[in-house]
Amino acid sequence: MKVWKSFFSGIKDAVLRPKMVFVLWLVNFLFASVLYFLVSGFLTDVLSRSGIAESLIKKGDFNVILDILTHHGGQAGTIFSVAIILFFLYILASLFLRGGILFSLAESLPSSTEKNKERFASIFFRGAGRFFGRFFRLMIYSLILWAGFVLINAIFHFLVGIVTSSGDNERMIFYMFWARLVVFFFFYFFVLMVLDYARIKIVLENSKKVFQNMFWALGFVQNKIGRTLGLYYLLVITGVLITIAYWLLDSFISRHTMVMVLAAFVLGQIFILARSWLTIGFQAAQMRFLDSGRQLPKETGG
Amino acid sequence: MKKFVFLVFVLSLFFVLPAAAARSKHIVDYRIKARLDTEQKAVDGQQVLTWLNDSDVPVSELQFHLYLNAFKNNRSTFMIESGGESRNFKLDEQHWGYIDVKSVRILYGPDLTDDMEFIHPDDDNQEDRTVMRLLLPEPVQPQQKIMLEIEFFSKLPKVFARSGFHGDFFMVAQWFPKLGVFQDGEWNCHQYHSESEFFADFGVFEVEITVPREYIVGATGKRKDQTENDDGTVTYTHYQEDVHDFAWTASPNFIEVRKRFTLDEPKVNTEMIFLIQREHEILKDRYISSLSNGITFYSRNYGPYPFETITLVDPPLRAMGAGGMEYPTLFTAGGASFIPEGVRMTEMVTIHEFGHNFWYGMVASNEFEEPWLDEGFNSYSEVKAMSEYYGKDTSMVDVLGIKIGDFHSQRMNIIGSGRLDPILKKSWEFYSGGSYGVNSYAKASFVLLMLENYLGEQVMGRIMKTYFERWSFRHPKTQDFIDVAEEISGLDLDWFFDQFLKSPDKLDYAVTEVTSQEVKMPKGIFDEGEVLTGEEEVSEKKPQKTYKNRVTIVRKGEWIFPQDILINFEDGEQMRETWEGRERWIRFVYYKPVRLKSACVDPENKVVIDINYLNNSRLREPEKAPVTKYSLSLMLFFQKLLSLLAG
Repeated sequence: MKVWKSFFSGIKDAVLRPKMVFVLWLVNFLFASVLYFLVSGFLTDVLSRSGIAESLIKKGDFNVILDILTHHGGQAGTIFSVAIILFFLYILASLFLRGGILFSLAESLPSSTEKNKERFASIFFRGAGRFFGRFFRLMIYSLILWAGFVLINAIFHFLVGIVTSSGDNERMIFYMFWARLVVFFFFYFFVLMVLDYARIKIVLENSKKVFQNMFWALGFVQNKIGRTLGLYYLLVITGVLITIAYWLLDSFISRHTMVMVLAAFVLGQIFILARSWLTIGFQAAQMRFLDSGRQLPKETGG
Repeated sequence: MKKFVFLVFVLSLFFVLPAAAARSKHIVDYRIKARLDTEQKAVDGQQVLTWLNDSDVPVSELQFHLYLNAFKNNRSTFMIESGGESRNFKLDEQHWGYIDVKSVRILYGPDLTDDMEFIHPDDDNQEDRTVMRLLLPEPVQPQQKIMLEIEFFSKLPKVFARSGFHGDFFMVAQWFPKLGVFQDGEWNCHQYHSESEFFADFGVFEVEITVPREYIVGATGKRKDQTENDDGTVTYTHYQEDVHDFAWTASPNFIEVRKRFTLDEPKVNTEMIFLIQREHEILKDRYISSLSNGITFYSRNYGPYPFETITLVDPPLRAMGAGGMEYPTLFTAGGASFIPEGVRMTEMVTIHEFGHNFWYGMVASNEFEEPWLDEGFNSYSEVKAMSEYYGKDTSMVDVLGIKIGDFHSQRMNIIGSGRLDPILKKSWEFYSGGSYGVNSYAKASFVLLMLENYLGEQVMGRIMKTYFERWSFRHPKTQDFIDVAEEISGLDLDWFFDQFLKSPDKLDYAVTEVTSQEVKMPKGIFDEGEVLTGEEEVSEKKPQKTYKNRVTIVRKGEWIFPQDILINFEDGEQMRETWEGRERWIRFVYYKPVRLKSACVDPENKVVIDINYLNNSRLREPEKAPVTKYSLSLMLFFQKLLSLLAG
């Protein structure tokens, strides 16, 4: 019951924060725009004057990909490197935004004693700035959890290897492949969930004890494993449903004209908006869940 | 002096020469008894070999391939060249393979066991044991025969480089002492190399294979007899004429499916035998359909498949080192139960390996010395067959909107390859295994596709048919194919083959300039003292603007090929030019009242071996729409990635 309540409260919290959704989308858009300009310049250089370009709007051509990668692989590689750098910068930006999201959400909790009348931007960026350093430290400390994640996967990989390396049962090999994926994603999500609760606790208590809170979150998740997983996978399923709906709609758009290309792009932006909304929903629902069982008095200041 | 007793059989024409119906001259006749020891993973064999000296010189020695000795230790030429790795499989050093020739004697004659020695004609590697010379007490005279009785023991490696065992699956290939080819007055009998396949003479094979009763057997040729033995074994007798090798397989885990294949035009009637792993039963229909497609395509385009059987062997997943390999009337395919139908690797391998029954099986060129005649011809045939049955752009992959043709996968290998080797080269002399692969398969295939585009599909069709008819059941060389091509086309094609087969270069023609400039009216003082102001252009006499339109084509590669050039003007007018393509560049200039729109070399994409299609055409004004389309698509993809992984 608590799980469902937290889930729906979280969804509602996210619905009530369109500005926050917009900020998340905007940051995502801006980072990706850098890549757009790089790719656009590159393709203008290598493709726009080729006669092949005339037909590409209607139909893809695998030869074009082959020729670009073969004869312009250096430039493509540079763009790929920039994309990787952008990716890591985006992780830092997300960390920054996560502080803003959680701090803003914490203000509206029933247990909150401070009912702040400040503007959204003021609260959001204050929270973002206040918690960035702590979340960054948490990211570093989380390497311990990720090492555990790698270790568990390595052990499972080893065990599966014993079963499949000498065996000829092709189905078993196939199922084991999927089992590996399931184990991989289960523990991947598990670590993400622990880090979510650690961040929430840090914000709710304005705590600077990052390391302790990470292990507190690990204990919290373990103690309420059924409920925390239940809530997390409810949100994951919501994300999957959103993705399926997007894929279905997207499959109706044939990108044969510029108008349809733009339509597909706009639909893609709606999907990213939905993803941003869900990100807030995730944090809000988990915060509600944690807060509902919390007996600790809220610290003030910071 | 040791007294030799030998027997040389001089036989009548009736015995020596093939019967009227025979397709090939029977140079060899193997009668082999083979017993599979499933515990030792070995074959005990006895063979009676008859060899006809079809040359016009006496022959005083015989040379045999002992291929399995390539896997005897890490000092063999094969192991040194391959580093113990072949087809992504490593040799299991717990299971070396070898062949031990226990005795050789002339039938009813003297023992020649002591007259055997190992030779190393290619690299003088004293440790290599893959070629054996047998000195004869007396030469075999022209058109005479010699009969030998040979006992041998073949220990199979764990599946590696086409042969071996895996559990209770056995792929018994290159397993018996096999004669080389006496050609041009000498033995052509090369060592087993990492990057080479095989070469042998045509003849008759009758092989008795004894295996435990529960084993299902597939083999070259037609099953002639089957005898249950008292010791719990079964002996299967297989017989085939007009082939140059014999391979077989045994496993208790096969599902055997037999299906008759018939074709009216040309007449084909053969039994398709599928030996499929139980867990691959799901692939049954794919195998049946693709093999039927293969038989139909090759029979219609080259000549009817003439044998009474064709056996497809489906190896287990972990024995794929034996997969994708051809033998006369039998081949190994490859597949896994979880490969989706849109990924057509199973179909491609089936069609390719079956096709080798034409280019290798019947047209039996020397795979050691001219691998392109086999792999290149077959890759060319494969890409055409795959396109015909599965679509040019979808013949390899058609899954989740991803479409890749066999043509693309071959081209991918070519355009990124180095300029290290020509196509025409001995297989073990290539710079690397990769270079051997690219040149012998994909590049050779594209050379033939280009020849087809140059001569026209009909003429090429006649060339291939004639080459097949004329040279099947013989050993043609590259020049034999060139002769047929020149005869049928009526053209001198030396320029074509000389550069594409004998030089390692590349072909790349590019349109580098498409410009259009308004021609200014003359201004200034001219010889006659006339002063022009440039305003004359608006006079009634010269109301139209004129543009100087320039198109420049550059030859960036070393290979030369005549080029068609298509030039488009803005008013829709098209002009065609031709260029021999010899100079480094050529420029076309047109004074017209309209501007140029674009220019394109090879507009019909006939010169498929061109390494860069992007620069084959050029627009005067850039086309922005596709740039925007793909840039937006990539941006959106990146947004999703950020959102999912870092959001």
